[in-house]
Amino acid sequence: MEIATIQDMTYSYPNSIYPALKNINLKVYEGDFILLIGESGSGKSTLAKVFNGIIPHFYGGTICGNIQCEEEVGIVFQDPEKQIIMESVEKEIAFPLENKGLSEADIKRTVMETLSFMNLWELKDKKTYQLSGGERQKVNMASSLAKHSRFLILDEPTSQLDPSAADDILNMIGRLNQDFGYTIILAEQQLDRCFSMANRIWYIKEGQVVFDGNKKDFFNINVPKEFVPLIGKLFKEAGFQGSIPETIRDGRKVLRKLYGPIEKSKKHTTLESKDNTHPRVKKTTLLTMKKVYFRYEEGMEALKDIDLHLEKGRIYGILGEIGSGKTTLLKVMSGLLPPSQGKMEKHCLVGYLSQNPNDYLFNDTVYEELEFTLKNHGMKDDGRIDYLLKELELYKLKDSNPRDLSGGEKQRVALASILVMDPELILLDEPTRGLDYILRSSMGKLLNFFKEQGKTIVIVTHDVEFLAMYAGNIRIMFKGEIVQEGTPEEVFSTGNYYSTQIRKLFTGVDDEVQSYEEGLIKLRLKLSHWDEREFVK
Amino acid sequence: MKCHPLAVILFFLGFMCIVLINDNPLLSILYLVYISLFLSGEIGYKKMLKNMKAAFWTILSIIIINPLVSRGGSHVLYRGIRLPLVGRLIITLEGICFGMHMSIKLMAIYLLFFLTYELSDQDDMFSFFSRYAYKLTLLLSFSLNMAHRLVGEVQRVKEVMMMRGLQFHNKSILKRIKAYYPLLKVILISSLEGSIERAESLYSKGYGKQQPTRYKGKKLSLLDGIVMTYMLLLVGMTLWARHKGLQYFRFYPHMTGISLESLKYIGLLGLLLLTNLIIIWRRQRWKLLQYKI
Repeated sequence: MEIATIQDMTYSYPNSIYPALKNINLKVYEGDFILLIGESGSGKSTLAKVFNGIIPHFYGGTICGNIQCEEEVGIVFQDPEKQIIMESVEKEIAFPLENKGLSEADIKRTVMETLSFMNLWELKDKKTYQLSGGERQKVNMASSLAKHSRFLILDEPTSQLDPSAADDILNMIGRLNQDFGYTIILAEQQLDRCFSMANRIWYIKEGQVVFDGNKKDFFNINVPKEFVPLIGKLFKEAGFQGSIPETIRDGRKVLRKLYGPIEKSKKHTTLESKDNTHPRVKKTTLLTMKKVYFRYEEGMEALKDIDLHLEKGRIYGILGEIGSGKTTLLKVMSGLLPPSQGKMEKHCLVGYLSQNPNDYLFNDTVYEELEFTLKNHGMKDDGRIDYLLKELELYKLKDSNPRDLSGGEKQRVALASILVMDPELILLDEPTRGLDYILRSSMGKLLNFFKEQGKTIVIVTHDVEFLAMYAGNIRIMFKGEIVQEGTPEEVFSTGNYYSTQIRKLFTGVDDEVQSYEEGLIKLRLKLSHWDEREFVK
Repeated sequence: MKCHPLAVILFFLGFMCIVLINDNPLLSILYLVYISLFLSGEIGYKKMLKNMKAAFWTILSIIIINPLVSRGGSHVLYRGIRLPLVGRLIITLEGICFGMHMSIKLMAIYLLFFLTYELSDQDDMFSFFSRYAYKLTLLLSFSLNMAHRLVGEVQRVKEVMMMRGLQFHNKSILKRIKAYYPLLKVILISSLEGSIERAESLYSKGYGKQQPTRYKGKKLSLLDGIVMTYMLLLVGMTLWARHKGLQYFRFYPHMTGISLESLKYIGLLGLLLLTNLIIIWRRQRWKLLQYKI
């Protein structure tokens, strides 16, 4: 049954001559799980807001076409913090019901039901500002569901969360659809996590829905490779003709058939690091830490017994759960926090880029933003601002207001505002958070470019795939301690949780496969010897 | 202790009025002591002293500046050099006392804000006001949100700016103030941008579409009744005392004395406030009283 229909809809924001959405024709059926994908700025959020009337009723603008929605729509946005209105969790869930004018008895019953349904009883009496990002997002979902919306739109709900909180949210969304028949539209960048949950895909490009269909057809159309989940992309590129696997579990089933009975494969011994210092860069130590401890004023020990040695021209990665001490370590390295105990020697200028690029941007133009850092350090612009802007592809935006730029551009301006003082050591805290695949890839290229220039980069992130591609040395932190250190190959081949998708796919099947490229070659080779009809059988 | 929004508003407005219209320094001291004791009962005296510390420099500057610019007093303590714009520097006893009186009043008002915050539940306030003035509540909600975010964001942005070369611990006060400008600008812009997302959220949750109901809205309790009764009594007594001239005190050109009647009135008022404090303190300790009111 159709619960929402959009016909010939075109929409332009106020004061904009270009339409944000063009000729949209869509139907939503009850129980659908629609994955809405597209580049940043392609119109995903705008489309999501059309369904519950925020567009045009809240934003204004020009809209034409027909929009019909049978169900009340609940919407959950990206940033969990900015959606919460009330101070107590219980009252936050009750808030939309109060606004509907329901009686106190009705509100009470619905709130209790929702708390049980979403398994949020433990949070009931907590203050919303005491919650973690993931918990806040769950409360937002509960608040949307409480008003009996069986049609839920989620606009990148996990983009600001760490992986375990994101998995929690996605599992909950999957349960709502599978077990309770809720209709879901999910706009998401991290396709690997949620592709298998969807039954339909909408691919939006420059304000137009260019694909509306099922997953099987999606693999056959020409979309940028960044918008195809990694496992599916691997099998598709390798020329696999059967039903393309979407999950690691399905992929392993195919591999088992291809490889036959599992023999204990030889352990990979010749691990080659891809991040040997660049040949032109002379080996120099930039920073050393010996038995460094850090305690916060309230007594919490955030770093314990840290030994670290950073060399010039390398990319280092630091992985770990929330609260494992990663950001504290960066702050100690940068000099923002002094070690409580131990010895740290620093022989270089340090640049530190925190998680939120908006914290850097306040000047009227991009140029002034870079000039500000230079002036504070008593340096002169000897042409380095223009050089850097050109290198970071920001030169044409030189006179733009940095706050008006896209997410990726803002990130580059924030990075430029640090790089302009020419630091030898660059510390990046979650640089890929909230970025889509294309922006992640351009960030990676940028880091390689700096490495070639002799810069040392330390990346703190949850993004295992990103580190696997760009870092040469990885450390895993747990409760303030470094528990493992090694090349990506060493680190990812020994762990289960901290491992790449490709490693998870090939572990126990072919332990020699470490990277996507190796997996692709092996898979092509196997497929060339394989009779496709066997799969049909 | 959380009170009904109506009781909180009445308490805040009533107390604000009686502090502002009062001219008598003894009464101002009495009000300051009452609010300090009330607040320390709620949050503990250590936290209260920490809050008072934040206002210390403002108060000190009033005590210093007022005698320098005021020339209404008759007891000259110091007659100094002639300064440009200001003229001859004259410091009088009345000027110093008036400055101190203003500082006491300012501190009382400053602590009154903290006390009001402690007595109110933000959610209750939001629900209460949204029924009668939803646009005003919206505005207040944004402002409160901005203040709330400010606390968390200041440290983060400060670290970012330090890495960009700003020095917040510069010896020169002017340079220190200048360093805070970018920090405040970042926070202000972020808060304004955040307000749009918050407004979207409010819209999607149906705020303002119809007259809202209240969930678990606080009902007027006996405690609220006591707070409101005391406050009405206090305002009534203040107006009566003002009419009778019992609050009268003049600083310039020379300070008047305090009459016996005024002292009696201040004593009576002190007793009234003390009984109020005893009820509030005992309520926190006596479970039976807590249950009853």
